[in-house]
Amino acid sequence: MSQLPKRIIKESQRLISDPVPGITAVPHEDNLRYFQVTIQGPKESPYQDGLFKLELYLPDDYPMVAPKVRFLTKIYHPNIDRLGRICLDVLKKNWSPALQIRTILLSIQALLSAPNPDDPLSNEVAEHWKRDEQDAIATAKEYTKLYATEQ
Amino acid sequence: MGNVPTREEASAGRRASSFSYEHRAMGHRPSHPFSPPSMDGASLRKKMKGKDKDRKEKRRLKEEHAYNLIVRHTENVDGGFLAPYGTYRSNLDYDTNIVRNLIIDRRIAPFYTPLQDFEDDWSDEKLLEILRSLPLHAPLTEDSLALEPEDEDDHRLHSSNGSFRRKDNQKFKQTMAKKTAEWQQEAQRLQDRDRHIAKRSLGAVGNNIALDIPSDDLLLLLYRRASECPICFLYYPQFFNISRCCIQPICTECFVQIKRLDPHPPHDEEGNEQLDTNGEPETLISEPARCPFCASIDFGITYVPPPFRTGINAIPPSEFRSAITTIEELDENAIEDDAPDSSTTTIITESKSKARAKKSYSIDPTVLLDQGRHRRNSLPPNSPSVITTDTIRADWVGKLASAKSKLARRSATASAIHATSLITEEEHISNSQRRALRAARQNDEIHELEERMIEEALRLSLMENRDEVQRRRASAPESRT
Repeated sequence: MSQLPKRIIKESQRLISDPVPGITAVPHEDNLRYFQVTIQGPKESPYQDGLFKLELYLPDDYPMVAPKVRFLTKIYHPNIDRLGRICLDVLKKNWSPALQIRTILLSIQALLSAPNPDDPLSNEVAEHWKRDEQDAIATAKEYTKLYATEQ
Repeated sequence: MGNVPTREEASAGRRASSFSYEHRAMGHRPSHPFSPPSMDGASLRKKMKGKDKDRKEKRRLKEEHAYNLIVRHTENVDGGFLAPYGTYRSNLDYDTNIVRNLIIDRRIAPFYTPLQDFEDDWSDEKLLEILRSLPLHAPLTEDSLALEPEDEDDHRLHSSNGSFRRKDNQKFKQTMAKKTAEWQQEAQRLQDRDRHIAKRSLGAVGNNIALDIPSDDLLLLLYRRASECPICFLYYPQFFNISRCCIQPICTECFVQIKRLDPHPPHDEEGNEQLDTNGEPETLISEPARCPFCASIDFGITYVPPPFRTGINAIPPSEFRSAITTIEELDENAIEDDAPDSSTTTIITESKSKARAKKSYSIDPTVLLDQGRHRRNSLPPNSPSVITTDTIRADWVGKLASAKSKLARRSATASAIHATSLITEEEHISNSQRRALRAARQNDEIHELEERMIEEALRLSLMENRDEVQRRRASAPESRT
């Protein structure tokens, strides 16, 4: 493996020295481009009290290309599919090298607070959301309790 | 094209130490700024025919490009260089001739050698010690020379023309990677040598040998207040490029990384989808790059050079002397000293005979135009001082056109194959061929592979048929499975 770019080293250090509330990101000891991430479900969202695990990978061309992020914990959300893939503009065409791991994780946290069923990745969930929002939220809460809460 | 390497050109390696001032015209590609020193010319030249000529010219340009990406301490501008340090290994497909000229014209910041770490409270001695031992280029690790994954066709009995071409291209790439590493090593050796000379003759008057080793004054003035580039997080002298829209600093190495996305269909919500074979070629679009900081379209920068000049078209960096220790002081000083000449414009007239002024440093009045280093307002992309990402990658029009024609060709091929397969399905067609065709029709994503598979399958099955016939004629007893 080639030498780790200074930017990745500094980002990792700063994530530890100045952590984001409700978010942890720890690089894997064997591969410093691979991060194990947790995000706390935002308050007043169906994901409240849940702790969601994600994986984040910095490709070779990072920061010129976006990090790859995926939910590992099962989650009921119109913009996250069954494989945990996330539909978020800043992870794709609106990525900018001025963004960071920190800002991306904050965006994902914000996505949990504000699901967007009009730009869905998971059609079934999105339709559920549009048809009966209360019921969809109930399912999301159920999922949170079932999969994102330490028993 | 007169592309035969002459003896003079063959010594291009040695020319590295003297920068050529001939090709200064902006935006104009010099006809022969560089000819490959020796590209096992004899064997190649013999083969050269029609189509090969194009390919050879392409390779010459590639080699020139690689050559231009070598950092040489003799090619310096205001304490920086004409080629990137090597923080990024890919996306270096910008027009190196344009960028080199823009740096020489002081219209974008030179590629300064970055500091990986920096502390404000470092002593001058410590800072100098670090700066004096910085390499010109990031270490070229083994993986930069790594071989590409093996061509699958290598395992085939018969190689297609395409396979030969790919193999040849891959070999060329490897040769270039090796050459690049050698060129950079040689450039480093020359800098080490000059650094050694400069160190030995420290304090001695009239050091005329190591002219390109910067003086302590220059290094300290540049790096004493180093600051972090917001994209690569490395430390540079404060002479940054500034985004035209939101006035954010960006180092040149990061700036040359930012470019248009590849041509893509409009309203592409997925963003990462490859070209769609079913798409209409004419609808492909290419959008200008956005500012990484504020997302404004048509990303561009301006640059205000330091109020002193060293290197190309100025005094040698070794002769730079200054009692001024910080950039802030320098700015104040410059404003007091020089009232801008009313007739000066941003075009800097160059003297072909590198006038080596004896004064300690010369302040260029033109730098005081453009509201000093601290522009407060944004500028439109067509402002004369703005360099956009398209300025340094002017080939986007061609890329869009070729993506369109590629897509058009591909859909034409696809329909042709479709038609052919319908006709020949009834006939004696080998299983492998039919499978390949069917697979190709279904497979929308791996276009390259698709074309290769069809080409290969068709050719192989023809071969197989012929072999079969021959074998039968020879009436060999063993049966094939």
